[in-house]
Amino acid sequence: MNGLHDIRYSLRQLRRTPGFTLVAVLSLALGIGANAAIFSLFDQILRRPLPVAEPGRLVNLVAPAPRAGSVMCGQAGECDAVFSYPMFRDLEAAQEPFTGLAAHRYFGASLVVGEQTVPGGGMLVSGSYFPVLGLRPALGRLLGPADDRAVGAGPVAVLSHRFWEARLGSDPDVIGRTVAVNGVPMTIVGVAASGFEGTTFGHRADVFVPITMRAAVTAAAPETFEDRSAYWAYLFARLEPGISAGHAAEVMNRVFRPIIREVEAPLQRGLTESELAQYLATRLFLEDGRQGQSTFHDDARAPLFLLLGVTGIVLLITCANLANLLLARGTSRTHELAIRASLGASRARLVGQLLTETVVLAVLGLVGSLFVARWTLVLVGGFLPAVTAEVMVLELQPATVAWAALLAIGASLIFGTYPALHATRGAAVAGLKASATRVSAGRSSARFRTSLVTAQIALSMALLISAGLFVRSLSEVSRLDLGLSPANVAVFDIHPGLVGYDDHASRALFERVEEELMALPGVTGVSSARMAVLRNNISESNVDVAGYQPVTGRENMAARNEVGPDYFRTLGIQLLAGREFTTADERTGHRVAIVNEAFARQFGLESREVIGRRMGVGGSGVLDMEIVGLVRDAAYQDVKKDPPPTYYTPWRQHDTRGLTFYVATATDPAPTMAAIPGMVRRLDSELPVQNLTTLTRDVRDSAFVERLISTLTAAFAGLATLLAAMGLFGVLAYTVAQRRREIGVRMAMGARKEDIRRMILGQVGWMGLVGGAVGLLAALAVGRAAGSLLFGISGHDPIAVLGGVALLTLVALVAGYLPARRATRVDPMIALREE
Amino acid sequence: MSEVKEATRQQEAQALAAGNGSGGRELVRMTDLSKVFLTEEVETHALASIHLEVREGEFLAIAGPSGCGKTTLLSIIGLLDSPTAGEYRLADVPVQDLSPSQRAQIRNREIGFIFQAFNLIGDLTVYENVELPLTYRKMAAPERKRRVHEALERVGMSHRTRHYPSQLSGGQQQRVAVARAIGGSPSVILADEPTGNLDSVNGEAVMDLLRELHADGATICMVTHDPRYAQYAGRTLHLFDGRIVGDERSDAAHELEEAGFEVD
Repeated sequence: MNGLHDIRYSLRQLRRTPGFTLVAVLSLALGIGANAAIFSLFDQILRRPLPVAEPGRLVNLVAPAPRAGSVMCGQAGECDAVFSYPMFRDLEAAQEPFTGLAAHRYFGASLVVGEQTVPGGGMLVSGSYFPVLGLRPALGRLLGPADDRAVGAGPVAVLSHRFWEARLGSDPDVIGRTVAVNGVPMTIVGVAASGFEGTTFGHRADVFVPITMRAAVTAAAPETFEDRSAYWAYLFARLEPGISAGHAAEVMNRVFRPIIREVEAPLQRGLTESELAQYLATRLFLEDGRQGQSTFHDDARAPLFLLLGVTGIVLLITCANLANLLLARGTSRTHELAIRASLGASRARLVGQLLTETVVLAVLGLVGSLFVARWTLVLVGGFLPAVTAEVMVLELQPATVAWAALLAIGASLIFGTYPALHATRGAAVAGLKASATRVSAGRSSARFRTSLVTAQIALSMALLISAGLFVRSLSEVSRLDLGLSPANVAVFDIHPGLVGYDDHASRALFERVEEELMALPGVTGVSSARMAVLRNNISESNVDVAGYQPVTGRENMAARNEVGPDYFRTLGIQLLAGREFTTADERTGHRVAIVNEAFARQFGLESREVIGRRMGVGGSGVLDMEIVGLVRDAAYQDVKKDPPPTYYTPWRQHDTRGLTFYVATATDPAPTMAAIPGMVRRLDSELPVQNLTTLTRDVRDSAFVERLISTLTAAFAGLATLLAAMGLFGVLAYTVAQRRREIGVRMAMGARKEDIRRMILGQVGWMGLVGGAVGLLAALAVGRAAGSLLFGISGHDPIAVLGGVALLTLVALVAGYLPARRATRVDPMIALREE
Repeated sequence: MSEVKEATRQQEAQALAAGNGSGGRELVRMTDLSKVFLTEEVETHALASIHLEVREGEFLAIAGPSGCGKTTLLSIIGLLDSPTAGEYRLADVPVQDLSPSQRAQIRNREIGFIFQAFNLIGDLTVYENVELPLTYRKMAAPERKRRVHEALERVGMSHRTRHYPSQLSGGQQQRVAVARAIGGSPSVILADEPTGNLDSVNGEAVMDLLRELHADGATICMVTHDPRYAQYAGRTLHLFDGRIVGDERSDAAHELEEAGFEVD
């Protein structure tokens, strides 16, 4: 009864003071909304476990060691997390501490069901995959050990629930039908449980096929199943109940280490002595696997924690503002509370009433925060590369709403309690008693309010400087000399191998595409590459170079890429010596390579000696290629990473069933981009054009983390500073109002306007000095902690620090100016007469 | 008007005859001064046709019923407010047209205020409260310290320098306020109902203090509506509806004797 009455009364009170209500609700909405939006990302990427039974018992296998041979990594984990297929089977056979051990790998897939051809993703999984996860099918059955007994056998597939729903309309008769996966017909045997889309965040699986079908559904060679130097399988296991990860790793190393020593080490070629020693010392480690396996987790961890911290600070500032507003409001209602107390209300009852008002405010703030969170997520979505945005849910989810509600209610109760207690302290006597003698009272609340604002200034300073650091970092990234010219270059992928083309047909198609592209109006150059640049792709090989002896401690690995004629001119990469590839560099011609400067340095070559030098790959010692060109270093995986030593060969000298095309245009590439799908469709109506974009966009996406962090931290820092300025203004305005009489006394004592102004601004100065100093120290600590996210600047970059200090000083002065001016306008005679 | 001039002349004569210090230089001179408060609909004549002279060493009580303009008159004397018309000279300087900054400076050097509600600043210690006017004067720290200690010694509060006002009784607070008023050696002390918030014991103690200060040569203008305390002054100005309706001078020597002081 009291509760309902209090809520009604609270709403009436809030309506009566629309200014207070608006500021409080808006502050809460902004503070909680920003936090909830980042929590939504955090929840999806770093918190939510796989939708499987007991995910806490899942562990991922990693074995840090140098690897010679073919290493395919960076998808579900770094290169330490990939194993050879024979090693997987060895470990699977000796899985003592596990209930099961499974292997998996994602692959891009073209899926044909009935008349539909859909580009999507597939997951190669071992027969143990679903049993280890403990999943049940939504329909039919899941894959099991019987499905991966022999390489190439087991043309069966399990569809993801999402794919079944979206593409097959949840057809219950789908079992037994055929799905063509990259041109390989497979029988659908089941549909996975709803919500399960694989174990690699960022790579959504539409179909699950036995790992033994890898050679059939991808371009991988069948011998990779036998090759112990071909590392491509990601492994995870489920711990036996009661077994710790540390103990399990110890048990598994009793099996793993002898295999490394006795079986695999002798097969390693191309490792230096020190690398071999490291290889022999390889140990197996088990990492938490409750969220599956993905590089996305590691890449996103630092930025997300940072942004969560930033929004946490914004929320703290919001709460401090709320507490200040509530304190001021409580003071102004002393008389009302005293009347209530005199009529018999207990203090607990009064506190309860005030807290009800705060909770009502919080609920209104919560509603606003959901809009803010939604808009923030839309803003974030605008920064994400398309492939990342696709796997993220940028809508409000129940967990986010619950989090926002928890914050709103928690913050209101925590930060509303002191003001409520303060307002009701001695309410029975204080409010009705005329203030007989005038000394400024409420020193504790004044100190509390000042402390809150000082803390707000400290937090704002920390945020402003941090934002400055990230903005500077982005600026450094933007100013990087990429070594290539991304302007006016369109990019797209085609993978004819995924729709059934063989090597010969693929090559013929690529040549047709090159011709057709060159015929498009405005096109000034066309080329292609097997490995798209700036998309974090890299493929490395052991390299032998004539006259080069590997030095202990130095690797002889180099990135490799297969490219078309005119590749360097099209991408604006400078040719320093020799020549580009031409269409004459055919499979039947002698094998040629072009290397970059980093390659030349790595292999001890002087530029004048590069051209004509022989080299070979694979660690066999056969030098069957001639270096015909030397190019300038250019951004490769990522704009921030140094270009790796790289050698390029003509794709015409290899079997390639998928290429990324680069189309240089004289002006805006948009018209050309619009024409590309039609052109490809004319050549093959079933061949999808994928990732159609511009090289400029790829450059931009390559630094999306920096862009996202700098934009969000700048926005949040701006918001925090605005809130802190509001807090500062509020406290000073309130102080001036409360100290009118004191100001009057001071004027009577001979204080001039400038003395009064100095007094008020002095208060700003002290709060700014103390808060600023603490904030500066905090910012330096943040800068140090976030060093890995900064590029080209230190965590104490003077421009960012000075910029933050200057901006906050300016804001503080502006926020303090109006109350200071109001203070100078106090009429001492009126002030001294006021009761 | 001629009656007023006549009254003034009589007052001067009486003051000189009383020998209570009013024979010093003229500190305050108000000529045909008035003060009108304007609101949207009402025009309130707070003071009208005020002719007043206060000489150095005088102890003037301003008496009258509530709302008669006592505090307004004191505020104008103290340069907290300006007259609507008429002339006001303080120490022979016309002050009604001074800038706010100049007025503040004169207030700081020439005037010491004592308020009914004490008006000590709660965040400052006793010492700091007394020091406050001196800081506005940009006085050197050692000199400030000397004066503060002297003033507190004078009012018997030197043992409470580190206390905050809230830790003192009302009487003690008012003594600190007196110390604050005299610390800067002002030309005139303006006291607005200095006993209004005190019980009779503390009230009399404060009045005794003012009388001692006056005996030492201080010029005091005190607003009071209590006839008991008006008697402490050598001269009482009666206000009614913003006009001076009486200006009485008492025999200071007689009063001092009655109060138990030895008079040479």
